[in-house]
Amino acid sequence: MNPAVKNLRKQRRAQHRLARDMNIKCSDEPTQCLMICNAGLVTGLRREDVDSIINELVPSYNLIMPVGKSYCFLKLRTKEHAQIVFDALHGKLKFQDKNTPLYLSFTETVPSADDDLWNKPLPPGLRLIEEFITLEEEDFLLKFLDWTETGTNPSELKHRQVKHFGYEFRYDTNKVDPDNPIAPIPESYKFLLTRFKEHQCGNYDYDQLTINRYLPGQGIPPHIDTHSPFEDTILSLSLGSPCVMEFKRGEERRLVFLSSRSLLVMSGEARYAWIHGIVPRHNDVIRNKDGITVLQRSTRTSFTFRKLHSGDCRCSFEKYCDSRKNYSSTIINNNLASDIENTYVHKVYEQISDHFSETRHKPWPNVTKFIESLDKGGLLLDVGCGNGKYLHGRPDIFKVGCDRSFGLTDVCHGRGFEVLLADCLHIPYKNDSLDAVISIAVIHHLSTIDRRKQAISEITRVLKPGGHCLIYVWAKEQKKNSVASTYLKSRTNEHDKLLNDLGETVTIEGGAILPVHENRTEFTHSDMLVPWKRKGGGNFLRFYHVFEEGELSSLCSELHNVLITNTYYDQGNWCIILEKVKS
Amino acid sequence: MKLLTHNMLTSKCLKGVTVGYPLAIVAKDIKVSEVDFNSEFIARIIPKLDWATLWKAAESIGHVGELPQTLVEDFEENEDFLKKVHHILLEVEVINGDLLCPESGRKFPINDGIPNMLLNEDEV
Repeated sequence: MNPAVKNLRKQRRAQHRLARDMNIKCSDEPTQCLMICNAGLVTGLRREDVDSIINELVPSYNLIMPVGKSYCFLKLRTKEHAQIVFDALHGKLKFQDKNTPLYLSFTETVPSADDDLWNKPLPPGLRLIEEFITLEEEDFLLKFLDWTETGTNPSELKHRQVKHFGYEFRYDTNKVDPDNPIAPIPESYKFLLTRFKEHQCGNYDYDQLTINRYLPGQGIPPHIDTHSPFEDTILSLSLGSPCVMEFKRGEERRLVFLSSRSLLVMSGEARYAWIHGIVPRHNDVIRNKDGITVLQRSTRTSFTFRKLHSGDCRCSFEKYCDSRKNYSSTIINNNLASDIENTYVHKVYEQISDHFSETRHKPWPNVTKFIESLDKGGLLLDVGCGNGKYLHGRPDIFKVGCDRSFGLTDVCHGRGFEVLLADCLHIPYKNDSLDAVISIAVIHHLSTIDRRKQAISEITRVLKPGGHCLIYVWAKEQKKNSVASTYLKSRTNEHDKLLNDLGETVTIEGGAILPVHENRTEFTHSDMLVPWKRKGGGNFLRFYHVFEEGELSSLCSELHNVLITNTYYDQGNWCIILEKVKS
Repeated sequence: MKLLTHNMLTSKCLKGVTVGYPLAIVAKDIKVSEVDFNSEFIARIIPKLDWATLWKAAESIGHVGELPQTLVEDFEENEDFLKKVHHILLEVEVINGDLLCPESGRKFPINDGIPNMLLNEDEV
């Protein structure tokens, strides 16, 4: 293709995306505002990279790098300046050893700098003490550590390497066994304990230490430390590479930059009610004095100090407390996962298949659009096809559905559709055999991240290189830009609201406790049982894992044979289109 | 199950099975019905087929008719040929029978036109 035409096309595509994402319109006439369409924080673009180039061209400007986006904006002093930058960069300049040049577009406005997350105060009860130890002490602590020795039982977790002292932290139960102490915290670390007291970091001698080593690209899943096994205050000392830790409670979100040698003190609300985690990636978006930019990660070591506690937890955050009856623990391992899915997904669909089919007539327009866009003579598989509502139409492509439910596949065959009984974890197709795959509202029924990933990897396995798949999953966010999804809107009466937060839970064989969601309300958990009322009687619970913003793309970006073509939010669902790039 | 579907199915998800293709067909009931013919559609589907598998499958269920064992050249313009392919791909349907894994012999039953490709937990 002619490069000019190609640039224009890319420009158009980015413009549509932008209008949708940020409500910013592109302009055909020069303006003071420019968008760099294919480089931003998500692609690893650093503020310094941009500065070094633009400073050569024009005297002053503002660079706005929205978080989580693959584009960024420049606000220039005049239209003429903007034109100079446009002419110098657009379709010409290549960045960061990439093959494609930058492409730019004039826009009517630029977004306001999105740095709220950094400007907000820390969660209540959270304290960060910078330079808690000296460089020499940091050096000593890192040198003292031997990851090769045995005895203290260093173990390789999926996401990082860990080592325990005092008591072993058990990741299966998220507790320690107080009757089974292991090697105590080494004498040479004791200076830290003294210093904790000097800084009023809890009035006790910490007796449990977990050391984590994170390589670039590794992280720790969002969690709240289990309440009852430990005292109120938990400390985390950061050595080596800095990184960003994310804190969340409900809609509230904070990013905390953990610099080298800093001590994070978590107590009270921050300890008991805020979820914290580190996103597994190779770089962090940070805010420095100039604005928002990207920092590459290297190896980070953290020392987490806890003090064992016996008896029930006495916190005032019941909802998150394992000592209260409404607590929901959702540690689901692989054995439990298939039991949960059997009982709360497969069996339920068999029982409700008739009624389910009656209530699922209307195809979602954006799914139909995807199918309409496929080439004639294509081969399409619908993974988890339900009653076959997407198998209608397009007689010029060959459509096959598969589903786990006998009831639903019968419905499909009765309607004249080609259908198989098959599981999305093991799709019975040859590699590289289909032109397109859709999987609509299916993967959220899988109860562990590994299984969700396996399903996506199966979908892409059976896809031909060059083929596309479309995946829809239920979103945890049922309100976007203050607009409620149809799911929320179809709440029938106000009385339902009062029933919310009853905190009903179900204990599953194997010990996990799952919360029961109140229909037509916003989600308070990620893993839960959602009730289904059958016409003519019968209540059923279905398991769902609802996806948070970015979760689906981060799952897909772990696959090496696909490119993310598009992601969007559609009526309470997170949606993604992937292109398979190699077999 | 239509033979076009069969052309892509495999049992490779079974533990110990590496290729699992093509699956053998043991057909008990076969239904032949009329489906609208679209020559362009068939011409576009043909290059995506494993021809040898299709021919063998057709033969094994006794519906090979005059279908050539090797794919003819310039089939795009050969309406007579396209119609034969159309017939075997879309009009012939296995209603009851079994699919067999070529490596392990595992049976996948076909009931009321629906192949059951579900695996037990200990098979994967």
